[in-house]
Amino acid sequence: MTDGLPSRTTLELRLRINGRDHALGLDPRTTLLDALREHIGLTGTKVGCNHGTCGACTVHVDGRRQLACLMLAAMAEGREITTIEGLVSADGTPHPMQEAFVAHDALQCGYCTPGQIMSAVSCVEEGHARSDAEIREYMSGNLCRCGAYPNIVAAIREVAGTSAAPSGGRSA
Amino acid sequence: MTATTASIQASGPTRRDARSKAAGSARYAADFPHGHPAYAALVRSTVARGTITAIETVRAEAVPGVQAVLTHRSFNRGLGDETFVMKGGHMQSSFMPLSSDAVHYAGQIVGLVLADTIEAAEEAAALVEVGTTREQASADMDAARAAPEDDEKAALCKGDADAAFASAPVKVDLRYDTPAQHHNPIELYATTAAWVGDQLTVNVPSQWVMGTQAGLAAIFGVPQENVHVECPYVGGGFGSKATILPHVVLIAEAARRLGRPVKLVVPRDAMWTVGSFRPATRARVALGAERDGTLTSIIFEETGQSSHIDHIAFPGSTAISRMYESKTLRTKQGTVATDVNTPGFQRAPAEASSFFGFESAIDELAVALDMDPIALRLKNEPAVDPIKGVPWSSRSLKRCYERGAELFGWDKRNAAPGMTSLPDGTLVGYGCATATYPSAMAPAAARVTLKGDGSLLVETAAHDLGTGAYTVLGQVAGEMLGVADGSIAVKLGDTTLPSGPMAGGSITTGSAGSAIHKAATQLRDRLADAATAPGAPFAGTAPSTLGFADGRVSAPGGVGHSLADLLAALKLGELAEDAEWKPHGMDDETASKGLGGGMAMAGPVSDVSSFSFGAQFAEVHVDPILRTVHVARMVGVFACGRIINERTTHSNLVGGMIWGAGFALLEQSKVDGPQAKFANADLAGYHIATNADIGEVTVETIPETDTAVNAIGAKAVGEIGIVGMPAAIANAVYNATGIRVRKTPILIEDLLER
Amino acid sequence: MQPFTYHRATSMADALREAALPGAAILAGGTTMVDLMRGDLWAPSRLVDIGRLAELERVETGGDTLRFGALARMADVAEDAFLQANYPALTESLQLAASQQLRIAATVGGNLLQRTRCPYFRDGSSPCNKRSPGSGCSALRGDTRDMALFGASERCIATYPGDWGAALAAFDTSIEVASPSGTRTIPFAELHRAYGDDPAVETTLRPGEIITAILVAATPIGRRSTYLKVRDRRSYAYATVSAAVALEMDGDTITRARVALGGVASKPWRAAAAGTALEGQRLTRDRAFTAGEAAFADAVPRGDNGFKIELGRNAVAKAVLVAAGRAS
Repeated sequence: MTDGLPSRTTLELRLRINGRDHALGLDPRTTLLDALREHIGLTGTKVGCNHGTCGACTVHVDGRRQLACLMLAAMAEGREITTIEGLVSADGTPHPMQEAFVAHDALQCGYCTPGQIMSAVSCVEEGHARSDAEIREYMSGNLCRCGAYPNIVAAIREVAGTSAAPSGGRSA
Repeated sequence: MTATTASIQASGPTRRDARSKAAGSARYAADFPHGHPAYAALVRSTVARGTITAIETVRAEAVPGVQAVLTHRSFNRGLGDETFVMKGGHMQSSFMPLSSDAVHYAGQIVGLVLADTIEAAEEAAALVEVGTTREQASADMDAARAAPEDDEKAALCKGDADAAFASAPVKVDLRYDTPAQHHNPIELYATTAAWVGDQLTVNVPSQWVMGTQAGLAAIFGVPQENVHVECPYVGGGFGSKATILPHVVLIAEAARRLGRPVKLVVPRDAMWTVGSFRPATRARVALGAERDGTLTSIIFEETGQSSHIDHIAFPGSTAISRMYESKTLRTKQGTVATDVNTPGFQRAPAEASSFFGFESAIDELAVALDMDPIALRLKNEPAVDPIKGVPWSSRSLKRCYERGAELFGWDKRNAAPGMTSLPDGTLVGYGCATATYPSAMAPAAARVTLKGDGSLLVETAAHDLGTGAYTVLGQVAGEMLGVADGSIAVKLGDTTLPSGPMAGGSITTGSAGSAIHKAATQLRDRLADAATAPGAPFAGTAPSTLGFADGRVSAPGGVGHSLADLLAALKLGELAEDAEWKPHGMDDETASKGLGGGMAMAGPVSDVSSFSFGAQFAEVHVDPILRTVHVARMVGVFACGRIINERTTHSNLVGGMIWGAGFALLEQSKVDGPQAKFANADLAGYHIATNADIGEVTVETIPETDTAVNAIGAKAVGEIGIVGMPAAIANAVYNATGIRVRKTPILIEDLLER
Repeated sequence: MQPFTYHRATSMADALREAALPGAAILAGGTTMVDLMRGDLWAPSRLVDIGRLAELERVETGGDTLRFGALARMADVAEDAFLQANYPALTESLQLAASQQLRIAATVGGNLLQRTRCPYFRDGSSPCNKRSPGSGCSALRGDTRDMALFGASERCIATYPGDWGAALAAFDTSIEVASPSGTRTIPFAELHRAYGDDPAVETTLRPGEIITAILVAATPIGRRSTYLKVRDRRSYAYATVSAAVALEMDGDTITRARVALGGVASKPWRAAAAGTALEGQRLTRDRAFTAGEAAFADAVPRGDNGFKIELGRNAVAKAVLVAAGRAS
């Protein structure tokens, strides 16, 4: 604090998560990850490092993958946040990527899995699943300590191969 | 062709917990709601050794929302005794932080801040000022202030190995180093503790809920059943969560003190010192052979890093000595104490480090002999246990090598190093090494319940760390009662269930599986007896002739009845059976201690010798200019007794091999000399393999019928995957470059041509 | 993390007004800043979030100057088809940085200000002149493997970690910054400081200034360019050594050459001698290695980082060969 006493305001925020609005009063220091887990009770998004070095907290912000640990909750106001809980369709049908992870045994302990799946959905939507090498590179921001990588690649390859033309893919 | 792994094609029911994990609904320790918990943050020592002389908490306590700051001055010293797991207790170390003013290692917990929010707790923790004297310390085993200690009990001796070595016509005498490594499960050490009266509930990721319960009960002076440890899912363990870590005690005490649940998520950098780690090793391997490759002398001398506060050793000798026939053998094991948190179990604790050197040396001997390294290994394959002379419960290593060589294409290897390259100049190397892991066993209990609708419930306080236990343990009961996998529920990881063993030493399937097998057998017998009693649907049929399949019970040649109909007809509602199982030869007292949450292991050697074996292969690609190494391909063929579920087993083995690749090329906890601390304590500085580091991985298992190892014939799976891989990769790097690197990780600078 | 107030800027004027207040820091993608704040390595008392200023997101590649709005996302610039064809060194440097999640969040302006990965800076407790001026440099007697060969001093031997910055150093780049008193342009070579007396001060930005754009003089040399990153892990890792090389050729003669280095210096490092060693010369494998030797002729090794001289030489040589192999 360079200008005297620290200011201890509470921020009144409205976060839109999985299509629902949440009104929250938060310490400005609250990260999106802690807001999701500790204030809203959406614990599917995992904490693995809090420093952007593991990918376990990957969520979608306005349809693109980002790390919830390096985003302040305040920065997320007005954005559409999607977490693993929001990937399931309204009638409860799992996302094809979730099905593919189950079918290919693309998980072991399961802790990095929500982040892997959120990242994998984006990997396909971005058009970065055109080869195994490209999938591996574009999934390298999600560490899996159990070593499920070959099966993760297989799951993504299947979804990329069978899904319709990428939607929501972006380029500059 | 795209790369595939055998696990994708492998058969077996889908992982039982896969859906909840993919949905994000699987609840890990930090995911349990606890009303309005206080959040904890750690204050850790920046000094490695000394005495705390001042500790200033006023600024921290002034942070709005802070409830308490606990230090050694304010912490409860009246807690009950509990000790180090290697001394018969349940703790990761015999030293309890906040118990005194002593500082034994950098990163030691010296304070605990409790606050209403995470933000306030973290802010305040940074404001606690600790004054500590600074005494000479070293975290580096090569610069330790203590002399190495010999562990004479771990030494093995057969004949005069030194004389045989001296007179051997072909020999190698080499030194190999491995560094400290940290488990780094992606799930942090999270803990929430809540008291209601004298009842304690703890959500902590644990590989040993029963041990955690027993230890916490002793510490807090409450009956064991008053402590409820609940962790149905563990986000990676690898040995790190096998014992009670000290912060768990601190959090439980803090919760008692505040009268409110307390939650701590240990930060990533603290994972280096709050728990344990794989200690560094230094090994000498000397091998002597006849010119035809017959081994005549094996000398293995290994020193492992330990801590000043505890003595812990992971002697490689036990497994090393089982690998080859040799008329002489001598092993020597030692430790050297350093100023670090106490090392502990990490995936294949003894084997992964020692096999890097030992299986590299075998490859070096093969070069010296101008002999194929597989042929050298198979020439010295022992018919019986070379140390005890007892038969193997099963040993199919030769078949592993034959199948592995075929899958890998070993016949395409050019034995001359540096002679194989891709069209773009990339150097190619092939290497192989043997893996083994002992099949130990622990006592276990289980309950199997046949529900009125014909579904099964299987319960035991064992654990699924991602190993597939939920799936496999359910299958054991399902097979016995003919219930389809989709109609089976399994509950694990909770002390309210029948006692289960520690998930350590690759024992879960063999131990908990045997207990479930026993309970399911009892249940089947009881149902068969009831169903064949006078007036029952199968009256007059011999109970032993009833068939259980596809959810139905039938007499020979008949259609029979569904389980649900049969239970209804017998007016039984549901049927539950409990069973306790203990390993062959274990006395009742030891078994009872084990079932009560104590450490009780049997094996791997009794009147038979039980080990899993594997042959592992690697193809590496080395950039000719930049000297970077890529593991393009790994093949592993393993024999682990009966494989109950190929799918989850193969995934487990693939994961172990990926650990091995990381061991070979990436992983090391660097030590800062002057500060005596781990210097790269984050996941940006400590490299675990990313998806891009891993090429094609192929795993197969050789089915074995092992009737001696345990009731279900299952040997160790969880740890063997890592064991041979570091040496296989180092051997492949030699084949690609002609450079022999005798330390891990193998880095660019080790391969640059100067 | 220490307390702060949060302000979301609604316009550039609003941002500049807030940025001028005491204790203010500019928040864009957050990937560096939130990380540093969580580690108590930076404790601003006022955050000015400029993330919604859409006018700073634009990328213009049509004229004599490539103009990258400071808030353009690294992931988006990496996939710009025009840049991929005409300035592959730039897009490759972005694509090889961090992970896709981070590249989507991180901005091309903020990325230039990322701070060293030196573990003694990051741990929050070791003596470190960069974090705590005057406390000393732990790296000098510590783990030196990843430390700098260029631009270091006895006060600090940490490296600048950025890939994008290293690639920009191979081009005629400048930085546009705004302040309440107007806009100025800083040559890129002058944005970062080599370590002299005070390694805590890493840039020449003045308090309250906001980077608004990165300007690169359009040049045909970009087409034969590449960014080669050598790292200990194949992805999601900082450079052990990296080389950005851009060449202009007439037949097999190199007429112009630019070489810059990453992972080895206190700041994005232009290796002018390597360019000189190439210009006017026929491209051969030996010449490529000669350029690599020249790039590291003045390197000052410390402890265990000497291997980066050979590795760097090889990396420059390989990058020269890759760049030369690209169609002009």
